[in-house]
Amino acid sequence: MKGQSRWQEFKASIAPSMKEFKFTLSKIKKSPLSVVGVAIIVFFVGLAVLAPVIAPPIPGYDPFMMPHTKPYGPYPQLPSPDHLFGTTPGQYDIFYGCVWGTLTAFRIGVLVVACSLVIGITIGGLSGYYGGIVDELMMRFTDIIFAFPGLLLAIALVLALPSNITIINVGPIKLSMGLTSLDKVLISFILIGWPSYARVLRGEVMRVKNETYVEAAKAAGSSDLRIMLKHIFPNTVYPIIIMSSLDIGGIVLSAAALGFLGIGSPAGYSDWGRLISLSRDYIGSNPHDLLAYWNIFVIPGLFIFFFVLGWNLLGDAFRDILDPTLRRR
Amino acid sequence: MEEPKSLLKINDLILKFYTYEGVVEALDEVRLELRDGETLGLVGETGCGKSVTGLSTLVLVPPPGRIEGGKIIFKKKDKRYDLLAQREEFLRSLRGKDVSMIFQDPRSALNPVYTVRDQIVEVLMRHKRVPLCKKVLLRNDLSRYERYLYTRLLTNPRSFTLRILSKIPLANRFRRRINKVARDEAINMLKAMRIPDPERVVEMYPHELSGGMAQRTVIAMALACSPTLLIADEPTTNLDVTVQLQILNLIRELKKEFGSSILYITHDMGVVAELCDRVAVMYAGSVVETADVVEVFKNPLHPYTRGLLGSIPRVGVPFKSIEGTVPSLINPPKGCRFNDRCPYAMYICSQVKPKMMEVKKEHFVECFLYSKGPS
Repeated sequence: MKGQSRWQEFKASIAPSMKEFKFTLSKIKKSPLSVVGVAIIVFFVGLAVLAPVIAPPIPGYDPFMMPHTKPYGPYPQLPSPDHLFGTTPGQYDIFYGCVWGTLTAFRIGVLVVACSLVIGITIGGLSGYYGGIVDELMMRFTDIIFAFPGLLLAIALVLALPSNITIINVGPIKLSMGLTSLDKVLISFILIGWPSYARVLRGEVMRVKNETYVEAAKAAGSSDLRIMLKHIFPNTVYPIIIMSSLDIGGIVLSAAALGFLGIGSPAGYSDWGRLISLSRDYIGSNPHDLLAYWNIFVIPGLFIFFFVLGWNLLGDAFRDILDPTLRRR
Repeated sequence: MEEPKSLLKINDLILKFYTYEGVVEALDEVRLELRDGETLGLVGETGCGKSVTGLSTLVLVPPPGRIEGGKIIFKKKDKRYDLLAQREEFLRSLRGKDVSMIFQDPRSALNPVYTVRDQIVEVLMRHKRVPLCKKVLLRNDLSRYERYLYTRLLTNPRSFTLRILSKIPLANRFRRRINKVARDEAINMLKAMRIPDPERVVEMYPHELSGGMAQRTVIAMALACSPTLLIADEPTTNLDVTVQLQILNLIRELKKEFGSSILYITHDMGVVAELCDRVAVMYAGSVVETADVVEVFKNPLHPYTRGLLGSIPRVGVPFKSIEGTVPSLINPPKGCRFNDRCPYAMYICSQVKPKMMEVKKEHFVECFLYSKGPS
């Protein structure tokens, strides 16, 4: 009896948030494109989670390295029951690469965007709120980064970063971290990614900090930190969330471009860009039949295409859902 | 000696804005006194420094403004504090609790991402946490754990462990008690604002409210902690005439209910006549005349006050306006700031700034016309 009343109480206490959640779902359902975006991303998440089941790795090997079947013939193969999507030159299994490449894509996209967001929000927020010399210094630094073409700077950074970074080196305590080539790609994307968030957030903060409700909050006795976190942050963060959702797609695309150029993930790593790079010599190689061996570049290409499309559609959905001023129309 | 009755006394307040074009002398020796339980109307045209005076009272001058001199003496629990000499923490505990402000545009004074409840509760949680805890402890269905936590919260409202605990999901479920109490309080506030169906309105977002409703919410936020001084910065300017009247009536009733003194900033002489006990007329950064409201309307002394009253349009009477324009405050005229528009200007007016003097009992004016003999 008592347990039941507890349950009733719990149900009553979460009722308002359940109502909001249902409202959110109805909001998503209203726009078909958002539904498509959500569906695509849900599909990729499922693929990533189920990767060990769909494409079981060989025990004892790094699961991210694509299995290699002997003989290592130079010619690619068309789809067959043994290799669902065929193989690349060098006999890497494309199906395995595409499935595990989803994990790589999420890792690159989400990690890079999350880290850039944290850095960008901190720096942009502080420089927008306080202004003055802090703002000037930080914004000139972002200008310097904006002055370089992004992809070229990323390539330069990847090549320039050392493979071993010493974090602490004080007397007997020495802590160093080995960097794989993929880590270097992540770091360089974060380094060139945060300034755009910082810029947008700074502008938004400068707009919002002059609003009357911020003044009203000050007049009600709120502290600076509270005003920043509770009043300014929720009113400025939506453009950045939408931007970051669009950027996850963009960053995966850039990473694929680096992979295609042979920078970044090592040979044989499950990475969509890497897969296309392996098949570089066979893209339109036969002048009489341009689509010979189509599977080796079209299939990973489609994966990239849908992944990016999904995030872009989801970005629009986020705007409809999250922004409370648009939400209740 | 100051009169014991005065709640707020502003003495010779000087405020300047350091802009690119030059130094704007926005307030020039403003003198103002607000007594316990009265409504003082601060009247003047746009840009004469009314709103800035209001903000200075909270010591919240927007940059690039700077207070360069004077005193703002505020009475709290029979002690007097010069607000300009206090530390920021003290001022923060004062703002919203003892002195609060109603802003001009109610819609932009509400944060669009929070419901009405969230906004009122925020003010309550900031300043009334202890009474709320006491209310929670009065309930008899608390678990022992909750009772322990709330007793601790009562003895030490800023306890570090409790602050951490309230951020952890599941562990912070003890907060729902205080949230419930605060929500009830918010609903009571809305009821006091004569808002119909407060249970529904309390969950609405600001853009779902009508203008009058939004202004009532803003007033509810301002009065949530029963401040002794309420600064109302043209609260009815952006509203329909009918809603204006409702809000004015509401303010009058609430003043009786909550016992706050009001500094009512407006440019509307009609509103002043309706609502205020005393009037202070401002022109170009200084208070030129202070008197009882009936006295000002019947017997205005300062030429500017006369001009202001003469320029209220009436049927059948030719419309008169004051000659000339408001002087730039970057290079204000020497002497009395009204001298180049004043029909009675004398030589001395352009040389020396007149002193505030009591011409009749309780009727102060800053003008040489009423000085006795050469000074």
